[in-house]
Amino acid sequence: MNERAYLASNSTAIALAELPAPERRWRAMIRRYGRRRLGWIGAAIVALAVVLAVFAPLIATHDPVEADFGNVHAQPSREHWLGTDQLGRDTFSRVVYGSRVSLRVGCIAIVIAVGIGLPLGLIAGYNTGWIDHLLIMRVMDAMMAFPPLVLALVIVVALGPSINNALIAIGITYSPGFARLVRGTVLSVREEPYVDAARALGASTPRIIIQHILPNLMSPVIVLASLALAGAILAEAGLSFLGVGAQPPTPAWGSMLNTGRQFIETNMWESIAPGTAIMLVVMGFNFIGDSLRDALDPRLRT
Amino acid sequence: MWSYVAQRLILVVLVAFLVSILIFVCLNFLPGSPVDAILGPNAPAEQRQELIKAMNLDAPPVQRYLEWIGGIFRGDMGKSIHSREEVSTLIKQRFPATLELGLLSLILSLSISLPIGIYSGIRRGSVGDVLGTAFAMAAVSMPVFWTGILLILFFSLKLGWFPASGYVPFVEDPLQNLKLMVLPAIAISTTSTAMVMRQTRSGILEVLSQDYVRTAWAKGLRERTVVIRHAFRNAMIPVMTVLGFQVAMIFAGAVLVETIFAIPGMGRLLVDAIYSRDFVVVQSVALFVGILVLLVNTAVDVSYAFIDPRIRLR
Repeated sequence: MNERAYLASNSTAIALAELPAPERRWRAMIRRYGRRRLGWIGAAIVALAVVLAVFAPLIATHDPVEADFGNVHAQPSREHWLGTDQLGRDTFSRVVYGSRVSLRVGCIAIVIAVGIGLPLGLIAGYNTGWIDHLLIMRVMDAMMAFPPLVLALVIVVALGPSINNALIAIGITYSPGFARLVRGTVLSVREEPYVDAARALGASTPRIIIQHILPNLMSPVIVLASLALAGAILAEAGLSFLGVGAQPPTPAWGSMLNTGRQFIETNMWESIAPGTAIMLVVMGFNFIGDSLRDALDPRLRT
Repeated sequence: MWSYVAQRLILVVLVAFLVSILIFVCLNFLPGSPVDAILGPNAPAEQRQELIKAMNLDAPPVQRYLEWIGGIFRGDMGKSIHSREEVSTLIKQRFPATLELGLLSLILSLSISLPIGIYSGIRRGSVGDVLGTAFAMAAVSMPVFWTGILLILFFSLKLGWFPASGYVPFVEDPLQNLKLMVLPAIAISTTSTAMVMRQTRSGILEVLSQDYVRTAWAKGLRERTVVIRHAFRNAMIPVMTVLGFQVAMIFAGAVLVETIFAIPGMGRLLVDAIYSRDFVVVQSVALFVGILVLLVNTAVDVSYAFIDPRIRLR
């Protein structure tokens, strides 16, 4: 094989080799993600949900909270694509607007969870003293002793039922998972020779953490965040289903499902539509999470 | 070995203690006063004073915490603010239904997930494996309450095979009890079936590539012997971890499923207490659940330390 043909056949490899290391890693990761079919399906579902949420006023055919008492429990028709609910509100439009609640609560809750879990995990992993062992991680253990929904319920009932309190509660509930993951990663990275080298060169602790430890945390945290996002959306739906999340008349999938189930014999679309929406969005984030895990961290592959 | 068990037990006591502090702090120090929550912000001052006295809210928090915990050690979990019933009596009445529901869904989940998980692991890429994996991926994303509603829709409203909701104690009418419990148990077990199935599959896949399994094949052992005697036991260790975690999942499922199927269990007790802002009941029921989950997880940890020496030596 002549040199030119060799270069052509390996052009990607060479192009990658010329990039600085972190960029090369990201490119390789994106390529690995792109090879996963489920990753594409997940991304498509989530993209659709984001479009619904952002352009809800354009996509919805009716006002999601406007009642029409002359037309309650209507079956699907050309006017009401998925029928209407017990107040005559258009189910399709409510499902479209419901994506706003689910995505907003899911995303903010995970930001809160990372915001609490990441620093705590860093502290607990970097200083292995009694503060780490007895305090931070044992409190995290105590939080993890609860079924997530139960802890979120207890926090929501203390704060008062509302969608904002629900997202705070879900965020707190998911923080120990991140703290544990970060601590575990820090514990292993801390022993790497390049961290020792940095320390020997006189690098300060904040510098070591920012320059050498944080980059290693990125991929596991991103993977956990995408999987936890699926869990957070489920948790919000559960809390709204129980009536302590989104309050009426806000259209949220969980609360729509709870009212819809009471009229399931009259009109099953009132519950089928929001239920399917929750399932699809959760599935989308699960697919993304699984594919990201395989792409970012092949060691974790199951 | 025994020092490992002792260590774990000390840890349980410590974490259980932290669980109680956590609940107490959540219910007492988060913004939003219990008095406002129970009476509403516009209640007359007299009524508020009465409630503060009844709930002993004017005592310092540390004293209230110690009184609560002290009471629990004496078997007194406090009295419901509304019904004035002992919380311990309420738990005694409600626990059997949830325990039965939990055990049924655990049995259901294991009897489906283990065989299919093992099969998927051995026959990777077969039609059965693909179907099993597809089921697992869909099932992990199904909200428990959505599964429950679909089950009611198809199996009781359309087909009429099972009653839609209600509860009869097992001792009164075992057959009717099981009929009523089947759908809720399926609803709760779906997620856990999917998770255990995936874990079993990947456990088997990993173990099958190990040297000692190759040796077992090379010795000319039958497939069944290789899989059951050599692969299964070691593949089970990660599965046990997932299983310990299922107890918490099952309880979370019970909170929702008992609401849908009108089963008077612990989940329903907690939700009703939350609706009526009955902080005493919420506090003690949450502690009960937290400690139960903690004990089961510790039992799982200790039991597999007996199976696998690597765990206690780590």
